[in-house]
Amino acid sequence: MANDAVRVPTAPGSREPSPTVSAASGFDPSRGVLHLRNGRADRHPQTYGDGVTWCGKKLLGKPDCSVDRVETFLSYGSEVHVTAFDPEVATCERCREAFDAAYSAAFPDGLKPLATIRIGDPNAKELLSPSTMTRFFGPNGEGSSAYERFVRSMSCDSDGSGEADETRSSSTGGDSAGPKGIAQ
Amino acid sequence: MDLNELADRVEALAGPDAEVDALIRCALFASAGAYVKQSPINGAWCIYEIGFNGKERSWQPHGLSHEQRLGSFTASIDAAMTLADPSWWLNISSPLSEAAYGYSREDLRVMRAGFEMIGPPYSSAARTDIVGDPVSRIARVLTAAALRTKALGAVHTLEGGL
Repeated sequence: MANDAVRVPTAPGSREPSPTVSAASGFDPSRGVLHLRNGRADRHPQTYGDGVTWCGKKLLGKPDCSVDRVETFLSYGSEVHVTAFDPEVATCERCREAFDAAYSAAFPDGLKPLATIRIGDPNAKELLSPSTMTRFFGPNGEGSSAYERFVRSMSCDSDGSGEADETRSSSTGGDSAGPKGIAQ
Repeated sequence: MDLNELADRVEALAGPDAEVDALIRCALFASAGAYVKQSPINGAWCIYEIGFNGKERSWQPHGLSHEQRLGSFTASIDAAMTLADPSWWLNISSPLSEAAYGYSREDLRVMRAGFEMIGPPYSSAARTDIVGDPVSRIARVLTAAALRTKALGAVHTLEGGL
């Protein structure tokens, strides 16, 4: 969990999110907050409040900290604390682009292949089940490495013969995993 | 509706949607000319077609599994997985760093993962990303990825592949 690139300072004096907004939207503030741009910064530079996205949607949640006018829109750096991404926001192409740009800046190595699962694998549903996702990726989840190990432990041979990794119907890791070479 | 457009619509959903379920069922399983309409009797989203006598009639699903006939592709993982062929693959990617799951706090882990479904011709993948709570969205992610994979496969077939 030690990663300087994504460390965010503690919020100074941020207020609690409005319970009315949270209840109406179904957004659970305990799962995190999202702030893209502080639309109230001009009039109330010292005020912490809900912002709006580029597409004008009101944000659910609160910024943890707001230094002057947050024009960076979305950042994993020190200005804005981002821990959730509301699906409504994700429908805006510009929001997504900005989100992806900020994400790429914070994680320049990009995504790492984690697991490759054959749809017909009898364990596939278990590997994708809500309980599994919650266990590994939910709050206080065990994380991707643990999920990788879990996938490996759940793997079964596609033909039941106990052959090497190439024949496994579920696998983990990078280039060696996946359908290359099996369906050609 | 084009399968990719349908996938876009699925990805944009914040929750299960019966109309989209019917649209998917209609696009993938119903005969050409079938269409989705809300039933005037009970308000359910149903698939209709024009019969031989020129009159509208309910489409009868034959040869489909229970999940394909009645399942909600936008809510159920079981139903969503019936849209994909058992020979297809699902590739899950995640950020390289564990820290990406909780940008600043351990107690606020948020998943960001890429889900690529890979079907024929197995050289290209249809990708859908999850950011945030994966639990409620996994069925829709799988459905969207399956629709995109089918769209890719259709293009490949039209181009004379395989």
